[in-house]
Amino acid sequence: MTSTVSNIIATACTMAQNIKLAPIRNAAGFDGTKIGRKSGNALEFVEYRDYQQGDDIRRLDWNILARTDKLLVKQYAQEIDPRCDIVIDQSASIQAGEGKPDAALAIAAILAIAADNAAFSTTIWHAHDNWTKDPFPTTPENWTNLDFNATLSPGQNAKFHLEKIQKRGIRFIISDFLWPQNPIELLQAFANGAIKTVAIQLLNPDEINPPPGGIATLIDPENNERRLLNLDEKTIGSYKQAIKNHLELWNNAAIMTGTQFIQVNAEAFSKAPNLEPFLKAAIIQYL
Amino acid sequence: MPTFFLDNPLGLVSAIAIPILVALYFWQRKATSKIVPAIFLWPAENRSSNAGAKWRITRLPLDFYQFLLAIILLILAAAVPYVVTNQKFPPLNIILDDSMSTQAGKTKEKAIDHIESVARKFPQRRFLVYLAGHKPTLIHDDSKLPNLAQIWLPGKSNADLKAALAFAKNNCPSAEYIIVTDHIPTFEIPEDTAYVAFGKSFNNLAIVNAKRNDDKILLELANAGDKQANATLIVNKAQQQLDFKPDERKSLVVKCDETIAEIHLKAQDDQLEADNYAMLVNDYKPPVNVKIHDAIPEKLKNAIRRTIQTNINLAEKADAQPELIIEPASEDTPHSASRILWYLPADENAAISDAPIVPVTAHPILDGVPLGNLIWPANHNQQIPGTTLLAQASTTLLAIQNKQNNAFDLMINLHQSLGNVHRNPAWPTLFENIAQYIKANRPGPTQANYTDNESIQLNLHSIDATKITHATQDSKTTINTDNSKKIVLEATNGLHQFTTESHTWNVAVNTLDPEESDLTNAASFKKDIATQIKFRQATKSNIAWLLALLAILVLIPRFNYP
Repeated sequence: MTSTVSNIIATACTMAQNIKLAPIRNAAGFDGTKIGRKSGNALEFVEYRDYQQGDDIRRLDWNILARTDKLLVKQYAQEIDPRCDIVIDQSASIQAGEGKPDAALAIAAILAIAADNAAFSTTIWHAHDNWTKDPFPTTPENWTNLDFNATLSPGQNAKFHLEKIQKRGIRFIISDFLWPQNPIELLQAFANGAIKTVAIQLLNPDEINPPPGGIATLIDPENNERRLLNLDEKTIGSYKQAIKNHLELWNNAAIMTGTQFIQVNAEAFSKAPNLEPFLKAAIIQYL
Repeated sequence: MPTFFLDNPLGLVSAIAIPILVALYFWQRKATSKIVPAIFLWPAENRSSNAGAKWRITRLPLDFYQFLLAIILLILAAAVPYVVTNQKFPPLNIILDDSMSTQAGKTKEKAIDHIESVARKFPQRRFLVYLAGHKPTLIHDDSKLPNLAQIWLPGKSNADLKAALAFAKNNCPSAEYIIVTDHIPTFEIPEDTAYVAFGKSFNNLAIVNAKRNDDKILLELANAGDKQANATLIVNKAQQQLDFKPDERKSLVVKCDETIAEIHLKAQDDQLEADNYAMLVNDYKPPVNVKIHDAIPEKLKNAIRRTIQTNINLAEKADAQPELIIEPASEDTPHSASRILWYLPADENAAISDAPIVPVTAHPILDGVPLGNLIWPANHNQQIPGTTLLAQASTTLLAIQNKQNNAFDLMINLHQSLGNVHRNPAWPTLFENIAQYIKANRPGPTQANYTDNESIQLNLHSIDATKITHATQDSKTTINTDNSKKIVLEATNGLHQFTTESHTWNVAVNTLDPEESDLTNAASFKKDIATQIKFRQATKSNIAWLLALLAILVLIPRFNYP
């Protein structure tokens, strides 16, 4: 971890000390705080049910068996932690934008601390070519594997890794979402089984509105594709229209999949992290 | 029709910047790269390709062509192009010194380079090229400069540049003239004439003179320079070593029995080879056979015979055909040979006059004949036919009348007492001249050895030839005589052989000249035409500014870029 990254993560952690994730209210009726349906080890009895092969034999209600010869097991309320999965897109394209990696890590750190403050069980997913869990999800200072050098974007490999994410949690994905794959497929897969999905898009102003320039070779860091272009008004105009259409596509896909879509100016955020976008989006709240 | 020229062709050197800039441009295109997160959002490269082509060529942007055009325009502007109207330019008369000294060193190469550079400035004008030589010759007249290396073949023993300039001015007035030589001018150069000399001073060993009479050759050899030198003199196969002090001139008599003597003065590192060779043909001509008529008075006969005995060019052989008959005018026996018809006045008619004896008509027979202190008793009332050669007051003393066969009758009005004429140097000189004149008019070349400033003369009287074959080292031609009795040819250096059905004559021409072989006189010199600038300023229009303006106009769209 470089000193710049350390500093911004430390700043983010400091900012997040007094915030927590906002409670989730969704159609399933859970608030995401306590209840689970599996038979667990909690003390609060819930109901009986027929014994099924594999149930812990210690859970058999021996009194009922003695009285009625019925094999029933006592079901207690399972004490489950509310889950929060934060996916950080660490593909090489993120590195292409100034401040984007720093902003991605700072936002992930804020969300991780806020989730921890709200007693969420938090998982940090480093979305490299293979997604990996960070061993210290709630202590961002200790995060490892922070290189942004994946050659595959989440748009290409998310469907292989989303199965690893436990269901019924709140899911965040932090990326620039600048890949050509269909956004609906990803967001649908991402939202599947989740209580809530939030997509945080990091973009820089010059990525939305690039200035004209001379002739240059544009390089895609992920697939090393090159294009020799004269960055004149015409070319820039064509790009602006393309990115406008692309963002519109993602907004529409987010609406269709019930994903909350937040756009953050990465460059500005990396220089001066702030909570406003997330407070405004009601993702976090003060303790 | 206007024509474009460049005033500063060196400006085109900057054209080498084009490939460098183009290479830098492509390198810069390659070097300027930008990493973007979403390349798929950018438009595809604008490429053109031929079906099946292995390579696709990137279509270059308009900027590239704008800059390239601007650079080319600026380069052309740096070369200072201008437009001229050809007709306004005066013809350029180029007078070449074709004397042999211009073969020394690199005079010719430098001179050709200079003329070509002058000609390149106005290539469409009329070019007239002259070889100065002994007599100027126009060898080229065209709107294109000829290949001077091919037509300028220096080898003459001298070049009269002043006469050549006068000839050129007469031939093509109101023009520009340029004299090209190897030495500084020896006469005042007019304003409309440029003078360039590319000579360089060298030491030189040379044969500067060569004569031959029968089997004896007289050679004059010179070491022109301030260094000692040694050489080998080779006459046919005979060799001898010679040492020369600085500026030494040697005279040698060499014996040679062969008809043609080839002479070579062989020296190392000689800058001028042409003057190290000479060729001499045996010039022996038998003496003129004289027949003295019996009617000639005894005193006169004796005086004539004493002269014949002391002159190798005269003989009196009774058994041979006479070439000169001396008889009293009263006899006047017709004969095809030349005659001296002696008008012998009677004693009472002979008189001596105090009037001076003067030549009336120039003739070879009078060459060198001293006319002072002559006491010439003659008949002052005698009418003499023919052309008067010598006269005293109104009295003809000597007259000549040519005959059809190139012989002549020489009439002498002189009393048999002879006054003091037979004791005066005029007497043997007159007979020597007569002998030489007869010899010179024999069939064939008037002499066997010429210098290149002379003309070869062939006498054909009494020769029944309609065609003569003329062979030199380089050519063989046939000359139609057209029944003429004399043919005159330019004497070019080398051996000439003339052949008729009955005769073969050899003639050698040498280009020897002491002054020409003295290369210490060679020097560099340059004088431009004073009026040249005026001519050119009046006729050319500089368009460099126009190209520079066009370059700026091409670049103006670029100024809007940030």
